[in-house]
Parts: sequence; structure tokens; C-alpha cells
Amino acid sequence: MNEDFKKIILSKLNEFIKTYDSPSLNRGYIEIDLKDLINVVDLLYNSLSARFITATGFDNSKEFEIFYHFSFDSSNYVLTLKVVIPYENPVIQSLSTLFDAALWIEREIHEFFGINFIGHPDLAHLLLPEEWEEGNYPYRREERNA
Amino acid sequence: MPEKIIPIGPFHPLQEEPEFFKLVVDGERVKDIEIDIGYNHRGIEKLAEGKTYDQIAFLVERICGICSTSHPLAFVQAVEDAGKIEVPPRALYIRSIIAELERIHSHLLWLGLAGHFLGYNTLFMWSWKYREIVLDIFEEITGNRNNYAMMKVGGVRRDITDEGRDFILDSLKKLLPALDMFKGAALDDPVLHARLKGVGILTKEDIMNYNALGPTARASGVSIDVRKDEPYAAYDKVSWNIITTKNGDVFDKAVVRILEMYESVNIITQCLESLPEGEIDSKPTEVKPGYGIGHVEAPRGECFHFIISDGTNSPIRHKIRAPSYMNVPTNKKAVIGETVADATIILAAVDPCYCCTERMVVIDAKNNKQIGDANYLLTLSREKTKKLEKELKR
Repeated sequence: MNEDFKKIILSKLNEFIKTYDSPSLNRGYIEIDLKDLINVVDLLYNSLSARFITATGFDNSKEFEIFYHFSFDSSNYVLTLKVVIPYENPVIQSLSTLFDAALWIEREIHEFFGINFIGHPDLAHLLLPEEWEEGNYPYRREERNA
Repeated sequence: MPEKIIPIGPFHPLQEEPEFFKLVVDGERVKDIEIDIGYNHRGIEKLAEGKTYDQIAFLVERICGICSTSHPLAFVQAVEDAGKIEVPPRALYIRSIIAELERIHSHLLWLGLAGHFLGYNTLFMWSWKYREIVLDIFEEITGNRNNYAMMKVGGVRRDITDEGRDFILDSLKKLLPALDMFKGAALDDPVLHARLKGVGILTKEDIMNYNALGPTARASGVSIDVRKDEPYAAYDKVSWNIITTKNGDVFDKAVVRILEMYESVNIITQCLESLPEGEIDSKPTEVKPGYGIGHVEAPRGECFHFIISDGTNSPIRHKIRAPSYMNVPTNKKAVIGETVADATIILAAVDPCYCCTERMVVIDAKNNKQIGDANYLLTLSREKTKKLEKELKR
């Protein structure tokens, strides 16, 4: 059942997939293009009724990566979308237009990595204090912060 | 009547996490709520990048004092997922036993606090009294009442001896009559029915929109439970049921939690009776480069850990998502339109217990003057219960 379900997801997402990796039966990692994010998430969330788990921001010392984790609970499958964001222009579409669950995590990634989310209603600090120094993004790699 | 702002929080010893709620009220009704977190941000994700996999299991155990085994369990599963590490069957059973014992003591703690907020202090005393049975079990088999340090990558740190097994089974026999008593006291009480039914409703759509988890979701008829959906530890080796109800109000959340404790006792008993012989640790020596995801059903919902490994002995990124991160924003939906007297129990219903009201003042929004003292909300909540009691007696 799991294998069939994976095939359905992959065929629906086929045109967007840049790379695909499935290290185990219950895990899938797909890299997609920055501009396709909203379309892909819309498909996953609204057509395939995936549950949004959370998102992980990451600085790999060359560019930013955001991992969006989705769970297909009844099929026992966790799918992670990876998007790469250039360091020069850290801007990405907000998922908060699709569901409210993305509101907090986008604020968190914004304050820790300095990535801007277009369409987010209020990118105020979530975890850091309000008086936190502007332009100081603690989860960026050290050489970048200088 | 002019709008008033009621601030709740941010710090209190009873709170699991410091949080700050600003209730905007017009007379009796809650008009809006502002949720502010981050008062105790400890940077654990960043700390983890500088520690070894063995050390991180201890580090993440300190994230929460109540569900202190959920984070290490999710973390070791993430590392095992990244490193393709096998875990011996006996260790898997012990993981389930520890996780379920924790669920019982966490739900009893919630039940006690809920009773306290409603003015049922006997329920509070009793449920915390019988919670001691579970804490005694922990002390006996792990050496600690809390922060058990049982989980490690590749297995568990301590075995359960035959004496330990008998001790747990005997203790659970003492606990069952107490659970029956709570079930009767809480679920057959007409005052609680009147007080909690139809209060703070979350619909299925709200759950989907906020992607809420655990008992909060299951009380609204969304049957998600990582233990069933992606059976980890020994949950696929024993038979048990997911508890769901369909109304989504505070009463149903209490029902789900109380009935879940029976399932936990059931799981523990089955695990102990069929505990396989053998090793408890596969002693892994390396974690391959790659991604690893581990998620477990904590007492409050799915706890999620994601690691990026570069093949060294510590991760280069460690993401942690606790269930309350998804559940707390649902308060925005549940509490608006309800009365101030109900706000306490609604905010408590997702089990973050920060409606601890002693840090709270009520301020007139117009002139910043304090109009209520520290116990204002608690008193309101209890008065409402008393009023209902009287009306029902009449």
C-alpha cells in the first residue's frame, strides 16, 4: 500500500521534481525549485491531504536550504521538500496563505536566518526578544555573520 | 463597556513553558487573543550542533520536565533513521513501557491541574497522589522520578529486571481502581458536563488548518497517532486502540486523556508479559552522512526531530518541533467568543498548563489601571463552577 501511494505522489509531483531520494520505506526527500513551492505544497496539502509537520532552516555555508516536512499519516510516509535559497536574495513565498500552521515557523526562520517570506502577515520576532539587534541572525554560519 | 486587556503569563513555576497571553475582553466575552512565546528560548538546537550524539540524548531530555522521555526517544529514532541502526527487540519493548508510563503520569498531572482551575481541588490532590505510583515505578526501574536517561542511540541504558517487572505490574494493579475513580468523578459529574461541554470547540477544519496534534486533534475526531501511523518501539507488537471523540470541546479532551490512560496500562502490561530476552543495546559506532527523521507520540501529540549528519559524531543541524508549537496557536480559534471565566480551562485544555493565573493582572485598557488581583481568573472560573453546582441542586 505504501509503495502504491508513493507512486501516486511521485506521478502527481513529477513535473516539479529536481532530485528524489528515498533512503527507507517511510521517508522521501524531494528537491524542488523555489518558484514551484506554493504549487507543490498546495497539491500536497489540498489534493493529497498531507499534514504539515514543520520546516527546518539550514545554512550550508554556500546557500540557505529550507526543508518542509509533510506527513501522510494513514500511509505511514514522511515526505520532505527541500528548496535552495540563494544567499544574495533570501526571499521565498509564505505558506501561511495555505494554512495557519506555517505562521510561527516562518517567523522563527525569519529571525534566525534572515529569510523573508512573501505574503506572511507579520514577521515579528517569535523566540528572540523584541530589542534584538537588527541584521544579527544567530543561526547563520559564523563567517557569514561577520 | 470599553475593551479590557487581560495579560496572562509569562512565567510561573507550574507552567511547562513560559508563555504570554493577552486577552482582549469586552465585558464577559473574549474578543481577541495575542500569544507571545520565546521567554525562555534556550537555543537547544544550536547547542546540539556542538555536542556528540550520546550527549544530545541527555540535552534534549531537559527540554521538558514532564514529557522528558519523548524528546530523547524522537532524537534517537532520528539518528537511527539516518544511520540505519538496528535496535534489539528487548530495548524496543522497554522504550514502549517507559513512554507509556510517562503518558499516564502526564495525563494525571493535566487532570489534576484541570480540576484545580475548575475549583475541584479534591480531584487535584487525588490525581497527583496517584501519580506518585507512576513516579515510584520510574524511581525503581530508572533511578529517577523524572529525566530517566533511558534512551540511547541503538537501545536503552538500563534493563528491566524480573523484580522490576513484578513491581510495575503490582503498582499498576493499585493504579487501576484510581483510574476508575477518576473516570467516575470526572465524566459522570453533572456539574462538569454543564461546565465543559460545548466550551472551546475546535472543529475538524480547525485541526487541519493549524495541523494540531495529539489529544487536541483526537478530541475533534481526527484520528492521528504516531504510535499507530508509524509504529515505533513495540507498538505494533501489542493490541490497543486509538481513543477519538467527535465534539472537540474541553470535555472531550478530558475524555480522550482519561481513556488513554487505560490504553497505556494495557500496553505496558502486554509489553511486560511478552518482554523478549536478549541484549538491550546494539552499540552502534558510526552514523552515516544523510538525513534522519524521528517522531513519537508524546502525551501532547507528535514530537518531531530532524537531523542532518555529515558522518562525524555530531549533527550539523538538529531541528526540534514539540507538539505544543502546533497546539498552542489553536487557542486563537478556541478561546475567541467564549467568556473570561471559561478562558482558563480552554487555554489549559491543550495541556500546556499556562493558565496558571498567579502571575496575571487585569488592567483597564483605557487608563492602564489594575482592576483585578492575581487570582482574578482562577476565582472567576471557580465561581462559575459553584454557580452551576447550585443551579443543578435546585
